[in-house]
Amino acid sequence: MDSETTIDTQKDTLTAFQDHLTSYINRLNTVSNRLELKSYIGFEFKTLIGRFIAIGNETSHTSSNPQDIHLVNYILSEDFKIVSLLHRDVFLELNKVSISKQENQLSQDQIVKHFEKSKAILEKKLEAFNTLIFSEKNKASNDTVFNKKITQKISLQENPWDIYRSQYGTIINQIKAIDKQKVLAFESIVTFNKLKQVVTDLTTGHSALVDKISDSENYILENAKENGDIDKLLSSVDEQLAQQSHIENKRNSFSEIVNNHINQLQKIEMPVGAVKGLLTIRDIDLKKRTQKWFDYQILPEFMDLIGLETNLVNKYSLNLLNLKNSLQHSKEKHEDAKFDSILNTLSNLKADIKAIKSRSEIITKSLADKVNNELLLTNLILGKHFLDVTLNSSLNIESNTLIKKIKKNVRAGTSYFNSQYKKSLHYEALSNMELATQCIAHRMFQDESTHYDSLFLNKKFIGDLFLVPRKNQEDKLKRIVGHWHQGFNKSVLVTGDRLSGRSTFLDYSAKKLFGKDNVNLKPNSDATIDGRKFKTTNDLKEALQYVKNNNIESTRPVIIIDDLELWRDSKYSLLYNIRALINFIETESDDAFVMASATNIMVNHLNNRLSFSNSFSHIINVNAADENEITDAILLRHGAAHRRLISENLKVISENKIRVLTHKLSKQSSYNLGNTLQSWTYNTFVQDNEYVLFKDSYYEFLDFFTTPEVIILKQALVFTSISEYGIKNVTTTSFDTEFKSALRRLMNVKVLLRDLNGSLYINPVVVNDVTRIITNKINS
Amino acid sequence: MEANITWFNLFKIVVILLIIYIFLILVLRFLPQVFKRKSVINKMTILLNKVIEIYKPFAILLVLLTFVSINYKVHGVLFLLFLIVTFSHIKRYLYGVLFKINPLVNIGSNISTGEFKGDISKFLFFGVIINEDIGKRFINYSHIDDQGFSINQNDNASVRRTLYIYDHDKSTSILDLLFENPNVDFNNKPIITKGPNEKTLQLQIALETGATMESLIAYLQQHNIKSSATKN
Repeated sequence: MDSETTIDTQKDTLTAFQDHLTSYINRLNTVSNRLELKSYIGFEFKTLIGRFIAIGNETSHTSSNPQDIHLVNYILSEDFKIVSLLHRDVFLELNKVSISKQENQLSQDQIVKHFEKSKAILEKKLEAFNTLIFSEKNKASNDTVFNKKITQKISLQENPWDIYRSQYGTIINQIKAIDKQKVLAFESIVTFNKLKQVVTDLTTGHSALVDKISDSENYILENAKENGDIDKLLSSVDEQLAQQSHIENKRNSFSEIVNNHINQLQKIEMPVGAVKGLLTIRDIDLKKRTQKWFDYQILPEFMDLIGLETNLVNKYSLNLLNLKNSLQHSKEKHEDAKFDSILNTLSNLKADIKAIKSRSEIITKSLADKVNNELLLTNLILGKHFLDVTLNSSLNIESNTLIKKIKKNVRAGTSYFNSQYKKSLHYEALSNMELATQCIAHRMFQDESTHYDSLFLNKKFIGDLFLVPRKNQEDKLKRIVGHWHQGFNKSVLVTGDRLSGRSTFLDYSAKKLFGKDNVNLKPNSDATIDGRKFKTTNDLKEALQYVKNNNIESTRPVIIIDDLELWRDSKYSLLYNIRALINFIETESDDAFVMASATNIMVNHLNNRLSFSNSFSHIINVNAADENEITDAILLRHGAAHRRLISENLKVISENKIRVLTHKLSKQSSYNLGNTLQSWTYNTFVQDNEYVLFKDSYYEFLDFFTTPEVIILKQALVFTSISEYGIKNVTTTSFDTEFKSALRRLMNVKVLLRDLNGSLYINPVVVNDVTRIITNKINS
Repeated sequence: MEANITWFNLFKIVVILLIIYIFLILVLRFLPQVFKRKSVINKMTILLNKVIEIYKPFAILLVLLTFVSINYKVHGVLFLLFLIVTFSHIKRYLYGVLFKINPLVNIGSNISTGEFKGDISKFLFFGVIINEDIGKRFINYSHIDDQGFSINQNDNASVRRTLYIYDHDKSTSILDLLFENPNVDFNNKPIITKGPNEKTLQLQIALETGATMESLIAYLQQHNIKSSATKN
């Protein structure tokens, strides 16, 4: 019974819907134009869908009659979906027509035709739907077999109504969205129109200017031809000039206006069509797109236009000025104005104007074409290219800069590489001799730091204040002296390279261990033994004899003979004196403690002839000092200067850093104390204020010596001081051919220097380098 | 698991080795930019040259081994054939590498090996070219390895020579005189001998490079000592 009633009510509602549908169709028939149709779909169709959804909802209850469910939720739903889609598509097309009409892309005729067809297609479909309802209803009521089948089928399937319902909802939303986007599109079209107006204004402004110039030029030309009133002409020229004087900055104002308009644009999601029931949407950021399009398509041509304009205006102003000048000139001189040349230039100008006009016409036309054909939303909705910037034009501009950038970088890189490479080649081209000369020049360079340098360079510095004890050697000497006091025969030879501090060591340690009981023997000076003064010559034998004779055995003095190589002249040879010394040591060393010093190279040379170093009981080598002792020596002297050491970046160097620097320096000079002190002065530069600048120098002294030079330097190293005469004596026949020029060359590069007595000695700034090179050479 | 080496791997290895080689060459070129002292640059140049000399056969060997391991059966046979055919050349080349990194050997140094003697003028892959009196001669590195070689540091190196002195009783003073003369090379101490029944003294002496016997004779003459380089 229950089911019976529901069927009845159901039937009623479906019938009611049918009635509504029929009235809907009838009213559709009365619709007479496109706007009415649009609003009809917008409102009436929505209610129709609403009614259908209501029926569908009603039927979808499980309690409903299966035949009804099949009829409404299966068959009618499907067909009604098609009806809805058709409505939506018609609505979309009508919208597109509105937009196109707004942009004046369609004729009235086309619009009317479109409307009629749209209406017809809707009517046709709705009629078909109506008949479908009738036929299906009849089918359901008559065919029982069919009904049974359906009951079975529906019991097995899930009701698809929910999906249909959501689809109807979507379609309604889509219709709403289409309407909404239309509003946006209309706004955009307004902005587009404004933009078009801007471009048109620009082109008309341009052509107006060109026309104006051309007119005034014609006017002047005619006046001039008629040889008219000069004053009148002049005043008109002045007027023209005044007008020309204010030329606005068109470029900035143009882009400003354009940007203002473009900023009003927004993102648009325009439905453009339907594919298999789905809505196609073109999603475009109008602002960005339009901006880019303007930048790449409009602005370049606009710049061309501006260029032409400026060119024209400039030329015209120049002509006017010329004209004015010549007019004034003729007025003052009361001459007949000579217009020929002016006329000539003016006619030239006329030709120019013509050319510019034709060119600007082309540009204007292309600008107008572009704006009118491309700045259209119609293109967008019709699925055409919309404000496309061809890849080519954008690529052209961008890739150009990119490639240029890369090219520039590559070029800069290669040129840097080449310059560095050439630099290397150039550096290698410097010969050893040039480097050595640079080195000597650098080391001998005297600035205002003389006072500071003297702290480091003075031998046996005033008092013992600056003396750094050399502990190892001193301890050794102390032990030896202790043994000597116990009655052993002892004698000491102090050896070491040049500048290694032999003399200082001798003086200092002799004073320390023997007090005043020392006899200091030097050639051609005074010596004292036990208070008795006596004169020495170059004869060491005589001096030693004197010492022997006057040596009171209780005092047991120390006999100091510094720099053995100095005991030498033409009468008493070195060997003679050395033999005397050896003889003295052999006989007297229990009563007198002999301390002699000689350079390493001299000791080696003497050993070749005599058993020299064996004659001494002990040899103390002061060649290498402890690096801490060297550091102490430098710090002591540096401290006495009361100046602060700064590095090249003008920062104060801490004491620890100074220690590192001195260690480095002492290593470079192979721990030769004097040499390190000396090289400290090469690397320091006294500044105006309280500072001393420390700068590492990379100059070095390399072997550039020829064979005769090696021989000369060997002699100078062994005997400390040499003379041209001495060299001539030993080299005899080859002196004039080889050694003379070699000597001169050595003096010229300042490897050899001349002292006050006229003899030559090796420049102390390079003496250790020379020693190293020469010993390597003669021992190889 | 066996590493699967493909042709692409071989290509990669070749490229990497080439890059290293170019890098070494560039470092060699740019040494003066890196170091400021010429002596350091010279040392580094010699060192780098040796490294490059050793690097080359190492790189070639690596490439060959990679080539073999792509398909060790086929390529191994090829490699063996290659080895057999070029064995002597490879041997020479490797000897050459060892020869070239020898610190004694430089372009221009005077070398004597076997019966040949001359200045080195060019290093080639499999041999060295020396300038002989008669012309240029190509010597295999394997020949040098077989025969051994000696480098004469200087052409006019100090050789001991004999000087005949006609004064009998002045040997001490002669030696003292020589002591003062820098022309004398004291690494080879001068020695004076007197043969039996001889009227002359024989002075065995070596001179420094560049010094001449004539000037020494003149030097002795200055001190009234008659001497002569020839016995008469």
